[in-house]
Amino acid sequence: MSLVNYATREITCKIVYYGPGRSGKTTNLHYIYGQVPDDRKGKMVSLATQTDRTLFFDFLPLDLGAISGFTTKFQLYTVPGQVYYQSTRKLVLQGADGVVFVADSQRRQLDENIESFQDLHANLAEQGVDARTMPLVIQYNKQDLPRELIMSRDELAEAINFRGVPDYPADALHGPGVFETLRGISEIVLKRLSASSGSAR
Amino acid sequence: MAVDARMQFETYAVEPANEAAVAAARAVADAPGVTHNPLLLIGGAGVGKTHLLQAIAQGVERGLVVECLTADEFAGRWRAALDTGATAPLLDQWRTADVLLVDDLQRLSGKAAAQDVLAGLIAERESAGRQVVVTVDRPPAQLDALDAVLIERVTTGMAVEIGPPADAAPGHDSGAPASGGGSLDFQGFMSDIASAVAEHVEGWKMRVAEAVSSWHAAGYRTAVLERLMDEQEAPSNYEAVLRGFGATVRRLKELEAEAVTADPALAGHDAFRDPERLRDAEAMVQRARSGAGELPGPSMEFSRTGFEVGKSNQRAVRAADAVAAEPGRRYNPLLLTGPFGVGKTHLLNALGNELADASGGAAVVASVHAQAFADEFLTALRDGTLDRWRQRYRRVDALLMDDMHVVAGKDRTQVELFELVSDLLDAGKQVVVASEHAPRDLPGVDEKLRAVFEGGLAVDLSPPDAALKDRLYRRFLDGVAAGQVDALVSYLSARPATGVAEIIDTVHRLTAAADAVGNPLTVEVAKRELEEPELAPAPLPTPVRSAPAVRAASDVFFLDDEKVVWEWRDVASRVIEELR
Repeated sequence: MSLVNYATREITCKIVYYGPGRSGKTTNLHYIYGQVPDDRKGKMVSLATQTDRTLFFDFLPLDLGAISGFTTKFQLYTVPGQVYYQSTRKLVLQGADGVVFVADSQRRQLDENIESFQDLHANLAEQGVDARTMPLVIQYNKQDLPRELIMSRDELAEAINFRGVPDYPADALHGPGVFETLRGISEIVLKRLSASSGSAR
Repeated sequence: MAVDARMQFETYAVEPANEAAVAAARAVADAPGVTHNPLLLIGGAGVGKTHLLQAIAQGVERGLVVECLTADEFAGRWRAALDTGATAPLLDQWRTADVLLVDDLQRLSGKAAAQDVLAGLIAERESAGRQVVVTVDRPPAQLDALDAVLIERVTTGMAVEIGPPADAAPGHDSGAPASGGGSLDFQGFMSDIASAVAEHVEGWKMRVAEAVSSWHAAGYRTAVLERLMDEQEAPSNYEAVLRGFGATVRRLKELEAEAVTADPALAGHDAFRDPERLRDAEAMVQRARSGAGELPGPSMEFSRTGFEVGKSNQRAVRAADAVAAEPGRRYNPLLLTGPFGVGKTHLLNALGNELADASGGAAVVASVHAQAFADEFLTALRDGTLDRWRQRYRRVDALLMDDMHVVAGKDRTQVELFELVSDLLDAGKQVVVASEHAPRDLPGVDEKLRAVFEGGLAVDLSPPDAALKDRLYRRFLDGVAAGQVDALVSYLSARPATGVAEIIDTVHRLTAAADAVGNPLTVEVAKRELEEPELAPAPLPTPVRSAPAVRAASDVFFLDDEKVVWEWRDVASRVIEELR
């Protein structure tokens, strides 16, 4: 995917929210959708089961308008977290400019978080992408739950964030940390404008 | 109008509302007069027209003369020149400037004289390839107070509208997007994104991409600029590369115009659309100018060794051999005469090939049919390329012309041919002509042309005698049973034949007749075909079956009716099927 197209003056960023099932990826997108003015957002496509589990993926297009003369568009995707949707995850991950890994802060979900994080790396490697070069941030979601049920930011960072990427505690249901996460990944992605624009004409 | 140093492309905020205008202005600055001439920039007050105009003034190649005026200044200077009677120098100054920029065209309303002058100037400058850029505050259709001629002139090139900035105050781009409302979260996000984009977007790539887009749209190959885009860092000389590209395009345009004057067929040649092929384009123009376009050479189909010599043509062959040995010195011009089919074309082209081979390919040998020569002459006359056409033929070392008799009655072609032949003979170049009749026997041939050929050698080729016919029949009856050849050749050689062409035709006819009856070619078959064609048996009919044979419908493999018919009930239905 072309991040920046100098010829058509367009910047398009594909950001994928990745993480274990029920970690709050779709909730992140729903919160963002609710905060964005109507003229800046497209229709959010969400394919969910009757129990609100993402079956395929969510897609939220954001048209940020003209920024420094560039028509700037963000495309936010989520992947289905359940293990058996591996092929959908791979498909959604293709062409991603950045990844937000949404971890579930609940202590009992630690193994799922680690397994999903490994799954992310495996899928990137399978697509020939060096995970170290892919813009990545981690969000520790559900920090609003009772202390006794969740791990602290430091504990989670110790367990998951071995690469030391930017990380953000969040409560996606109510909003804290959601835009901080989005801003974090966006800044890293946009830093790569110059590096990635060579072939994007 | 004083040019403000701050008003440059680099300080112009580009956004969707003005990017087309900026791209056009950049293209004009890179190569004035090459594309978008005149360029009309349309937009309301404050959208940045004047800034763009001044950016062009400062963006053109150093050394070019730029006249940058407001419409008021244009009218004022013209009025002053009228008062002092010094209009000529002023007009000359405006005519010859490399770039003429006029701001706020609408302000010429009510100034008829100035409008007339500007309309004339635009027309003159456009045809001379000198750039004009005009700005105006409204679409031309709404310029009722301006003369229709002027409006027509300014709109003959490219007109681009500049809209008001969508997200900032008119004429000013803060670089920040409009949040359009939304939560504080979203506004903060937008602010961050704007900062990141402004920080990381590379101006030099925007500049090169604009140029790629603009030149590509103008029909030029931009590979050299596209390669520039692959650089990770801004090349220190990218502005120079862009200017060089524009200058090369300008040169290509000049070369194309020059080439087309010499040879209209070169218009739009790929070499004139690719700045990386400038040398090719220059070489092409050089060739076109020197008249070195391709001339038809002798046909490789005819060789001297393949020409059968007999009493009927031996004089002609000896003369041709002498010419091949010493071109331009013996028998010049050489005229081969004889009726159709005696081998004039063969000998003419065989001689041409001998001349070319003897020189190792260095000699320019042209072999042209007289009708083609006449047609080329008329085309050159019509296209105004006569000088080039004449030059093209005058550089040959040998001119071979077949069927010269067709120029009889074509007075102007004869004059051209006479002058060409005279020039070539004067220069010691060989001329060989084939004709059914000698010029002296041709009605409608000019005396001078007649005289020039009578100064050379005319040799006649006659219908083949019996010995030559014998050799020719033996050669062409290749494949006939050995036991039959002598009798057949003996029979056929005794029959009259006007020339080789008739002998070949007879052999083909007899071979086909023998094939039709399914028998070998014998004297009997030949006699029946040549002397009693009405007695010749009809060709074998196509085998016909009375009933249609169609595979059973139960054969499920053959479901298509068209595929299951293996025999045909009659010839007519098969023919219809074949032709369908």
